[in-house]
Amino acid sequence: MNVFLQLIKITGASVEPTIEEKKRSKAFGAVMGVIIGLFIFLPVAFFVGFMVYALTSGLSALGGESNSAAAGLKLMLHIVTLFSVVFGFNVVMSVFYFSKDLDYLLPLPISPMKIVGAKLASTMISENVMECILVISALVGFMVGYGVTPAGIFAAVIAIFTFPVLPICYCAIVCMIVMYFSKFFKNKERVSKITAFSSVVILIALVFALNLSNGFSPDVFVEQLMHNDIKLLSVLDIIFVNVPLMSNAMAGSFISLLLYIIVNAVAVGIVMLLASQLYLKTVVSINGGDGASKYKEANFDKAIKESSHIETYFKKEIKILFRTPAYMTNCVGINLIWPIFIYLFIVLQNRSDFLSGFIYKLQEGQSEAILYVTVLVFGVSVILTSLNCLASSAITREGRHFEIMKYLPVDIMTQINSKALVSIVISGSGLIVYIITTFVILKISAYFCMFCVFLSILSVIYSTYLGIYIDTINPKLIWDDEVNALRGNYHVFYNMAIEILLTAIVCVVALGLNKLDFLPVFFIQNLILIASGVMAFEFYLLCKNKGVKNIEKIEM
Amino acid sequence: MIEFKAVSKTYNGKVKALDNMNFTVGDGELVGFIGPNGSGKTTTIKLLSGILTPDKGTIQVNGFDVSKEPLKAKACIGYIADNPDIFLRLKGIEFLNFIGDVYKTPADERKKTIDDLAERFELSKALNSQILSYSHGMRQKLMVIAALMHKPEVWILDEPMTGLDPKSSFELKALMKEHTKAGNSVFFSTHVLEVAEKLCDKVIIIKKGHKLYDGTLAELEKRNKDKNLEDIFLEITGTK
Repeated sequence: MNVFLQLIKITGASVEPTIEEKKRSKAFGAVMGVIIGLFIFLPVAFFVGFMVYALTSGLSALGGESNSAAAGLKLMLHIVTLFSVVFGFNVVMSVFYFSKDLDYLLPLPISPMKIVGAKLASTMISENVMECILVISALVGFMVGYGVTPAGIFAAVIAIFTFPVLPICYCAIVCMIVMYFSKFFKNKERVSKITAFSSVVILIALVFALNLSNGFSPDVFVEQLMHNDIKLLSVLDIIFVNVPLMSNAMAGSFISLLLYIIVNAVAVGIVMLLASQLYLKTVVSINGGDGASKYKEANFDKAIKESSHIETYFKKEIKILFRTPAYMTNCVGINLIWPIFIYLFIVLQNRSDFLSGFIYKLQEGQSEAILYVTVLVFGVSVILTSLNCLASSAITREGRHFEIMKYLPVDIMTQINSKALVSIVISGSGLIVYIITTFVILKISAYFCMFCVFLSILSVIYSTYLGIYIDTINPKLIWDDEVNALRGNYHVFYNMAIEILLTAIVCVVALGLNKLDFLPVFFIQNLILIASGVMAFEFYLLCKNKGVKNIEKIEM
Repeated sequence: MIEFKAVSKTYNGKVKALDNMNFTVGDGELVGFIGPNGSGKTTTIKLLSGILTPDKGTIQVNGFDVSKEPLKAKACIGYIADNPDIFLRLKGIEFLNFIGDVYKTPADERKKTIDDLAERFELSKALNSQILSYSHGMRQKLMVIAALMHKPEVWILDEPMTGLDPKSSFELKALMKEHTKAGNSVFFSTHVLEVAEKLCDKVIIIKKGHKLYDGTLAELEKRNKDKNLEDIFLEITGTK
């Protein structure tokens, strides 16, 4: 096989399942693939496609040039690009400078351009799965709203395969320059913390820049979009020039398509040029070691204390989670971004008649509004718990030292319970604070607030034990970087898909029962509470009976 | 005391790693486990420590069956794995305290043992730093301290000398001897024949999951006069 293709395979290996893992999970993976497709990818794709379609049809109806009709597509592609860049930095840093394969690749007589080229390609491939779905959905939405043309189809095919090129090239260019000129960034921990912080800043900036913080009016927004009057989008058009070019190409401009291809080719060329000049010097200095470490003597009286098994495992898990940047960002830090959405909700309710009317009904204790909020609290608690992947990566995070779970004289269920406790405490405490804060600000009854807190805790417990059980089936134990333990772990998706399915069933049944006039809302509310309690108990039992056996069966 | 009776282990129903293996490590015995790469040494050690389950046969540690009473059997064992890269984000002292909690070692005893062993292995000054900052040898020393902290009667060590500096290697060998002198059992795998020669009461040589020799080195040398240990090993294992 060609050296370059071999390199792509090697550099991409850490995010792929091992042969053993593939064997263990063939049937499971097939079933889960269908569930993920139906309950995660399809709804997300539908949502994105519909948004672009609605904006495109709206803009087309308002009239104007073809470029303005493509403004909806442009907005969506900008959002996709922004997220690619935000997540891309961490991945590029990790793959280019801190991955273990460098220990083997650097001594080989391979040019830095080939190494960087292969790493760039494998990063794009790993980034492209979800991005591809979003791009296809946006393109289909645009074509449905604008009309299908042969030029549009041709441009769409090119976009599907090449869309991550420019954002990832930007990440690679910035990373190579920064790493070459600054010692400050030659520390993996620091880089992870900075990228995590930057992600939150970008999210907040996006909210403010789209004028969402001052209220949101769809009519004004469409008007602004049509006249290219949103400052952030104008700036983004200059930075991510591939987006307006592709949007125009989709609307039929052949020159834009040509320019789009040239821009991407130039970006790859710049990356290769920088690779030949800067990459090797930097990567060698990083992998040469940090020099002599400064060690610290321990204070035994402070450090040595007796604790129970569950307490000591809990403390160990918490320390590892908080001290590992990838876990801190993806498992703990993610719980801190939800207040932005609560803030948005509170701001929007002042501007929207629908929302303020709904809040009024809640304050008055109107039964239907109360049921909707009950269903919302249940669904949000389950989904936010699955999103932080504390549970669905609980066993995977053990990695190559998974065997310690087996040779220490501690019952495996006790170890599972301590992992569950970590997820329940971190997810649950965040949700409780958010629920109480929102209810206090919106002046909703204290009794209903307590009910929602209790429901939320049960939902978190159910989501946690289900997540851990799924991870026991086939944990991804071979990874060379904590980021890959989470990114390459399909269980996060499996768990999310199953939980969305179960949550949807409970919510549909609850809302269906509400149509039966003779059933009081109070009864349905308690039915949801009981359902989440029963599921929490059932999934606890599943972990105890089958999850433990799954772990015992794993042989590395 | 370790009893390994008629144990077989197959991976994925295809690769036979151990075939009807029998051996005993008595109280007060220091036994070296030798064999070429892929001979089944690590599989045997993982079966002993409860990481793997045998397809056939029984394994007993101090009278406790590893499959039937795993927690009791594991509590008697001090196990050092071949890879010391464990919980790298914990500080050395936190890891040792965690292990102390796991084995329910009283705090005073923990302090005493850590103090003593950390001094012997010259690790005291690094205990308040994260394991991530340790060299391979320092991590290996930490694993040794952790494994011995609860004063286990049976030591099972997978390539314990790998990465240790000469002084630490000397200390560990001395500890192993002290431990067997006190009537306990030590079972360790090694590639270094000189270590086995100088340290062991008995050696077990295996190849492709079969036991080829089980006895003292003196006996082995008697049977193969005028040959050094290396030649004997290569001849027995058919690698010469």
